[in-house]
Amino acid sequence: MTPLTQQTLMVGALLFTFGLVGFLSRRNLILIFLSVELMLAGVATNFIAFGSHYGIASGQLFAILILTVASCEAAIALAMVVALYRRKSTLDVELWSDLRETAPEKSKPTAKSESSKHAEYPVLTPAGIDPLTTKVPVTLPDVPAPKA
Amino acid sequence: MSPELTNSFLTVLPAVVIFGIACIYLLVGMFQDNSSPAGIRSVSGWGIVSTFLLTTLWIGTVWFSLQPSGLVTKLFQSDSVALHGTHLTLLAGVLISAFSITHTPRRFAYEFHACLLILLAGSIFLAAAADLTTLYLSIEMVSLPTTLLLSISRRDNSGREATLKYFALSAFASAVFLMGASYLYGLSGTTSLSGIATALATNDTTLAKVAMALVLAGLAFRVTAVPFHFYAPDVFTGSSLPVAAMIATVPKIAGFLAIIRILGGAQLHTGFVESAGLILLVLALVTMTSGNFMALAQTKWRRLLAYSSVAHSGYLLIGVAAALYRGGETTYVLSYLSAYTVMTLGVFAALATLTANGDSDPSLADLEGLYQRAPMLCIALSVCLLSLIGVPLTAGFWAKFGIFQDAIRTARTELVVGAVIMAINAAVGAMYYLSLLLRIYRVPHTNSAPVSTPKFSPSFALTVVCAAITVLWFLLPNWM
Repeated sequence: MTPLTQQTLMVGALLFTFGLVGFLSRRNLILIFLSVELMLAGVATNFIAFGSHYGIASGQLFAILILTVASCEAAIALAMVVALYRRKSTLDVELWSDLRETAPEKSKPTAKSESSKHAEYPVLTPAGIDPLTTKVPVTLPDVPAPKA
Repeated sequence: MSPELTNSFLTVLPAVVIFGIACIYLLVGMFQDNSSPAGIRSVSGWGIVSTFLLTTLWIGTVWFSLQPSGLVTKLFQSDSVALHGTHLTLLAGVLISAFSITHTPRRFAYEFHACLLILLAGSIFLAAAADLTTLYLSIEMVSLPTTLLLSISRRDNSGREATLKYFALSAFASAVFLMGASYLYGLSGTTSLSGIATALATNDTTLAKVAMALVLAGLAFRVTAVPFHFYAPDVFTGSSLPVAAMIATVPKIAGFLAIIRILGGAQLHTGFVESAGLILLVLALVTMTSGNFMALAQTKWRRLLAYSSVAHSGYLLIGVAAALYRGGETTYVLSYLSAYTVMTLGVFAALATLTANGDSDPSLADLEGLYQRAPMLCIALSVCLLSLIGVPLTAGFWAKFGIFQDAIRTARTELVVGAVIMAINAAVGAMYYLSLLLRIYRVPHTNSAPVSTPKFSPSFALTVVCAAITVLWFLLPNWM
């Protein structure tokens, strides 16, 4: 096994581990799915390393298949993130834990307190006329009569 | 087309046909207007058409392929596992699509049935897979449509939550499976499953064990084995009844087919005993024990059925472990799977008959005194429940007996102990199934009937059919 293969395998294992830890520890929906993508990237790196080690193309082929399926998963994941965000206007997964064993209720963050924090999100500088403060002219300004 | 490709397609002909039909559904469905009254009437038409098509296909494959053709290509192979897996999937498909005739979501009628057909095709592809690539793609062909089904069949907050839990964990599980698969590829230098089996037979390094553990962990999610089972009760609660019935059966069939394929196919490779045998056995014991004890504590039908399905996965894993130790065939596992499919679908269909809305979650007390209100349905439901216990005169008896016998025959101490623990577990399982039976025959204390008296419906007919199959199966055990 060449040093290059070893190093590539190491990178693959590291990417996978980072993804694994991220998946288990993150609370943000998008970051959770990004962690899964990271895990899949680690796996693809592994396949490519082994493929080049044996000098056969099946590893590379498998990596392409993984990327294809990962993009399908990403499509579903993003659609689901949009659907979930519309319900509770937060990306926090802790809020989606109503289905569980009937156990003593523990206090959990409410959707309200989360959504009031949206000042933290970056805000685009408004451009153009604000339709709410500027009155839309009801009558058209008089057009000066063309000079004869 | 090259002969290799033609042969590959011939080995999985039913799946190719089903996939083609699903594509036609998607094309035709685009021009259907489900909001108009005529469109709403045609909603149940999709279910009727796919039930009919799947029944034809099922009878066709049973009729024409009594013996596996033995055809082996690089992608697919036709052996006894492929044959049984195809029959099993088609049987489950017929029952589930008959079930969903009355429970198809109106807005997504054709997507619903197209997804159902695609995941059945995926399961058949999986049964015949001969390569890691086809195995992985078939697993995804089962899991991605399952997510879509969960999402479109129920649109309230519980449905969303169930979709989220299922999808996040399934993506995680397939990543873990793939990591193991990449090491298997690295150890053997080939993606062909037979090549991997021969390479690992002479290799018991730590890496081989780690790779096998990762692969089995990824697949354990599909079969709801215990450390990976916790999504099951939540997903069963947060989905519509036909989809819950589907998740209880098809992904489990697919998961077991994948485990069997990875471990060597029709004749399990004893080379894997070192790396996989003990993992499977421990997984099986933990799964059945915790599944049964959690089921004892439940008060709702859906959660109880979820834990009972976890326990059944444990029994099935014992069967896989026994077949692995003997290097033998997995016929018992596959026939247990088909018996389990029929009886579980029967129970779910009975629940669907009793609840007008596919989203409701009846508690155990709601079905008290069912016998007074619906004797026929009650008897059919009892047959399915007795079959889940595994009493004689039902299919469940032969299923449990086969696995038990297989485990004893290995004459290995650990598996004999496993078989004994399985017997104890079956007794624990009998406790909660019997308490269910007592409840449905007991005269209720109050006169209020929370569950309406059922009229005749497709799901009622389905319960009776499932009960009939379970009894017939006992009389003709060699039928499957």
